Amino acid sequence: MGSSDATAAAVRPGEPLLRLAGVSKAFGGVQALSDISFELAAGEIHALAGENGAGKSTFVKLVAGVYPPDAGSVVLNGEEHARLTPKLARQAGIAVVHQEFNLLPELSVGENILLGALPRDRWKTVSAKRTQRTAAELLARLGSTIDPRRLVRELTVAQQQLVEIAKALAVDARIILLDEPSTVLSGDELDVLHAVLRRLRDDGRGLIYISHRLNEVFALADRVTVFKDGRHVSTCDTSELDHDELIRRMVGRPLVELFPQRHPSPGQPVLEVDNVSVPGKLFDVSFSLRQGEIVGLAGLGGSGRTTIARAIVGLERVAAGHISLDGAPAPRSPAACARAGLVMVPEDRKTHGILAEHSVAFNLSLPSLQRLLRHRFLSPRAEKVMADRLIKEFGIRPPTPGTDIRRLSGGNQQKVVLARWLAQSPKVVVLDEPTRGVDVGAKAEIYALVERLRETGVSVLLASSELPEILGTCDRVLVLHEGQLVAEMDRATATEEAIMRAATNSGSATVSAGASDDDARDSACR
Amino acid sequence: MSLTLERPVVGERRAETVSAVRRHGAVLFIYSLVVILLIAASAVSSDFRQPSNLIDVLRQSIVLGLVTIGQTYVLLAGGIDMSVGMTSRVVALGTAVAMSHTLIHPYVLILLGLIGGGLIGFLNGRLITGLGAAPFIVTLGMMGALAGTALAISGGGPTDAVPDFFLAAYDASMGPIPVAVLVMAVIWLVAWFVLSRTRFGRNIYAVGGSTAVARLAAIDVRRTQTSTYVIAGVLSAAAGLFLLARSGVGDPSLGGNLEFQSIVAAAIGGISLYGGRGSLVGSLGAVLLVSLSSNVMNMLHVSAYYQDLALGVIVLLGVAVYRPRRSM
Repeated sequence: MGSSDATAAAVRPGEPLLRLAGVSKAFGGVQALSDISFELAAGEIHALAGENGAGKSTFVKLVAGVYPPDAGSVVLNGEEHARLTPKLARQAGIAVVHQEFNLLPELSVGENILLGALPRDRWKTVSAKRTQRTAAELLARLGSTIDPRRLVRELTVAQQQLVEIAKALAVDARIILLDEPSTVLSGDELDVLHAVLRRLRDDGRGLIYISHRLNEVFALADRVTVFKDGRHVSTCDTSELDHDELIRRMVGRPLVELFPQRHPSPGQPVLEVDNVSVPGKLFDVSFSLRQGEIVGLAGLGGSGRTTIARAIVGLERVAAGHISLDGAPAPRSPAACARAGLVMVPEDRKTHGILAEHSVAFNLSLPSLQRLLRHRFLSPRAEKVMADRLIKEFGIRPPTPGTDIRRLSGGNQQKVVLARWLAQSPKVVVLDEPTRGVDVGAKAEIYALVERLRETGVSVLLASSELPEILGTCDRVLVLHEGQLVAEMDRATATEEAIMRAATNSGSATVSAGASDDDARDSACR
Repeated sequence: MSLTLERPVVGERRAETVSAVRRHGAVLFIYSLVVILLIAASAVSSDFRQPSNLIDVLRQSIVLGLVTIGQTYVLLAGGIDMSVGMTSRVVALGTAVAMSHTLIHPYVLILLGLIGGGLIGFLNGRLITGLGAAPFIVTLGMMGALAGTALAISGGGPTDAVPDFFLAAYDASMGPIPVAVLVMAVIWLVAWFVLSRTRFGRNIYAVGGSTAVARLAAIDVRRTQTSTYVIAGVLSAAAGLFLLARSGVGDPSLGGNLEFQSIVAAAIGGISLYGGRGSLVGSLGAVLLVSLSSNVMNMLHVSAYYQDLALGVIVLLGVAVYRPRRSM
């Protein structure tokens, strides 16, 4: 439990709770944050906006003491920290409410809230009564009446989030970072959350709020800071901005020469998705993909981008609608899909893409073993020949088939995963975030590979959270919002602003900023 | 973490070499232990270095070898089989009873015994893949059920003696080398070949490495996993029959500790208990090491209790040596 009054008293009037000055952080060759300055005042809700990859998560981890900054300083309550640790950050009153909750589902609400500082009675055993009472008080301060005796797993997601916030109160956090707390909430739940956060603000705490819902930023935040490509773009009162201006600041960037020349020549439809629904995730989505076409899937986190990709290759149970490949119903298991030429390169390379314990050659040949058989036995020579050829063709470095794949950089690992499928001559390739965690040079190579796929007549569905990537590679863009297809744009008409507007459902100019999600959904174009 | 570090491209060949050494480190380690033990024991004891004793070591390694091969297959595919020991016991006792109480030709009974072991493995595999249950619990349950079955078959005491020809098979030899040792060598070779040079073998590694990757690569995960349990079942049955041939009667305590020993052998042979990593070459080294050390301890008149203790200590040492590397 925190030393509540002491921390509060330490803050001199006018001094910000938190100040970052000239902070930089690089990972390997990738500059995640450069020369960031930021201030959080007591009694404000400060929104942090920016595209994926803008450096928001790194920022949160820096403030929480997870990463030490390479340069610059973090000043907490007037005290400068060159090397902030998670423990120091906690002691200084910083709490982070993550997108995924850190709750123990089998323990009670009260135990979760007070975990690590459970009140004990004189026998040194945990006092259930005091746990309950303290937890109930904390929850009441949030305006909640959740029974502290209930188990966390019985709660709704919204209630769990309140528990998570109550945890921050239990340690009397003065600075609370909320990383996309609203992605999992809807309508009324959102109102409750906002009320809670305003209460905390009026209490004199400082809140850093990260959200992709721009409406929310305007409704809730006092100030907004925009990051782009790891740099600070602007900080101003939300009243000084409107939607379009905010979006422009988030996406406006010089387009690097990252993308290859495109040569679209779409043929017949290959993949058709008809009124497909996945309970709770995807509602009545229809589109088609033609031969030699690259179609982008855009949308915020949780919009159903990945769900579509997974549904197409049979990883997601489709409740209604159907998917067909070349006019015939598509196979429903991932294995059968792969055999039919419908393959997926998943987002999470580490767990779904590569076998880290094995060599590059092993990983390359995985789906092509049939062709490496000589008299029913695998021929190491044939495998080496194929591996060498793919390594050369795809520019995989180091060019040694025997190296463990985990020693390769992320970009080269991804090239291995792509090469594996290209060797199979598939019909349709579904790519989910193909360049996540990949540096700029490797990105360009991966885009070139995607273009080459298309030139050989392969159809590509590319799900990505990075808009420049979608605009730079795709012939057509499908935009999803909360599991529904809300817009389809041609390459010629699509812009980052237009996609962002559809994805956040700020809609066309006719939908006002304050409209509820339901209204926006109804008016969305199909 | 998904941070990308573009490593400097210095010494690409070295990266390959480092990878190879890392991958085979466990194997090199185990064989150096085998060699050290061989030299040390030969230097100390003249009985030990007699060719007949060394051949005996090989013959004694057969039971553990058979079971460990099966266990290795299962572990590589990401499972574990606790029922191998009891499978060998049930098959041995069942075959022994059938040999003395029925008129069915003994060869047929041996074949039936092997098929029975395969069926037990198949059942394990189907329960695990069908129910999505933890392999440890399913095979542990199977182990308990088979232990009860074995008691029911034997009535708790030794069974009648098995036919003479069966005993003779144990002693048959070509020149100085027992036929059983030669057959075992062939089994090791075939098992190694299947794992490293067939699609099925590759699929086992892929499934054990990541079912998600395997599934996306069009590999039938369930069938692959089930097959490994069938293999373990058949090889355990073979081990049981070999034990039967050695003792001549169906001993109701036969095969008692094989699940423990086989997992230990696979683990110290460098087979990852999380699946997907290791090779039979390492398992063979570990089996030789265990047989050698038990032979040496027998010569030193170390009691069986302490031999088990020693095996346990080897495991703990092995765990300390191959601490799981933290993934990046």
